[in-house]
Amino acid sequence: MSIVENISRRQLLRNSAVGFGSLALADLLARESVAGASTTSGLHFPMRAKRVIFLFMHGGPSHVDTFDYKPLLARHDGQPLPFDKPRVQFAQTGNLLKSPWTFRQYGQSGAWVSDLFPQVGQCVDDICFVKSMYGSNEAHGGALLKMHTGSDTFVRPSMGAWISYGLGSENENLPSFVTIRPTMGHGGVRNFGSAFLPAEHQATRIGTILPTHANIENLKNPQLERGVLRRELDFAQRLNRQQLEQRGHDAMLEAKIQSMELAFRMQTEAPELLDLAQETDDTNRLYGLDQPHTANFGRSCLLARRLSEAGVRFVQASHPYWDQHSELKEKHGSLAAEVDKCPRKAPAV
Amino acid sequence: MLTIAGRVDHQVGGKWQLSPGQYPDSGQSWGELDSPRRTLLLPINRAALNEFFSTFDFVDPAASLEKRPATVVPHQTLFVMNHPLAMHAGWALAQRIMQSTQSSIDRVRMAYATILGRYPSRVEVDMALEFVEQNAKPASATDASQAWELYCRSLLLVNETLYLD
Repeated sequence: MSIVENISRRQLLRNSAVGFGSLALADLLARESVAGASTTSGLHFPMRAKRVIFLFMHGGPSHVDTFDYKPLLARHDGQPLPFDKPRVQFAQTGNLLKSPWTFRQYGQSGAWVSDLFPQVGQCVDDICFVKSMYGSNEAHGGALLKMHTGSDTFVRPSMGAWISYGLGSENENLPSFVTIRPTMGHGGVRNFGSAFLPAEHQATRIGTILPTHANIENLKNPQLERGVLRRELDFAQRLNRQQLEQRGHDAMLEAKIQSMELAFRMQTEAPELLDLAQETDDTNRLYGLDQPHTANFGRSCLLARRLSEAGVRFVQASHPYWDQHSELKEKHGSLAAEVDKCPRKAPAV
Repeated sequence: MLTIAGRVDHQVGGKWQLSPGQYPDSGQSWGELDSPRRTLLLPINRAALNEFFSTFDFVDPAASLEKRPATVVPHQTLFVMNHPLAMHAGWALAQRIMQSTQSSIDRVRMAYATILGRYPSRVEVDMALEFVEQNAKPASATDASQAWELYCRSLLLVNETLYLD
């Protein structure tokens, strides 16, 4: 079927003024998402990554106090910075401060890890540390946007949206991109949005930053049973499809129709996935669910694993809030304790 | 939702329910924010936007944006399908239209006028009447008044209700 067929002049003008490049491509993307296959047909390279779990430490753990050992910093402790300050800083600064934590080497790789993460230190041989990343925006909002979407100036798809778009979903009853307890500020929904990619690639959010049980709201109807809800939804979808026919091409409406179906299916599959009560004691211990300080993030991680195993391509779990302008030792200390865990005991270095 | 339910209070005035220094954030359920008036001024917690707002694309206060994002997520549907506020709106509207007139066609027209701000086409009326009739049958386990409630709630779910074009 020719792509141009169903588009009116008005829609052509409207669609080419906003969003991604050419109209034809946008339509192609929309049609592919309607067909149920949410991936591009024909990737340029064979895919190697299967799934991503992104553990996001919001607010920013200090790299020189965690995984980036700086011996010169220790040597120049108390002295002024011996070179020009980088452009991206706006606060008043004093002299250099060496890390309050000792750095040690771990594993066969000899990677340096501070005493904030003694357990993660046990796993370093399975970890790849990328120390060459840097940002250009010093404010939380801009920095998060840059990290999640690549741009603090333009509205671009988030990492998860790209992965979802490229790899598609393995499980049609679940979204392909989920974010667990994200921050709703500092860029908010843009950090897990889809921008110009088809709308179905944006994240489905589970919970918020509050340390309550991560859940999806409104999964259960307090009064009506599923059969009745299905009838409601079916009728609404009939009206939606009728509107779609009248309008011809409308990517958002098509996404909405898909999204409504997904919402309905989630009512069945999601509650079981989110229910951690069935996990064994061993698993609970592994994820720190038996300790009060690790329980919250442990739950997020366990949930991320379950979602991943169920076929969700990209799961993000966020951990607040590492913004220690002051109280560095106490707060970094307690925050690190909330996330520091390793599944095995390596021999002592 | 409140207007549809007939609950909206058109009086200007009313105060925020929280104590001084408290802000509406993710911790508050929709019920706690409940004041059946249209909002003129609302204090916002930048770091913890109430999840109802973010579900429906309230702008993120941290970054300036030339255009509000228009997301399409299952949460929006789940809210309209299962949240007590939405359920009440559907029920209340059904009561109003059933009390206003005995004519089925007029009931459909009233529902459309209230929710979508327009009158239904001939086709839409036919579809509506068929739906209500189907759901009033004994085999469907819902009676006539429940059928109208179901119909109103279906209209709430429709895409056109949510998006202004």
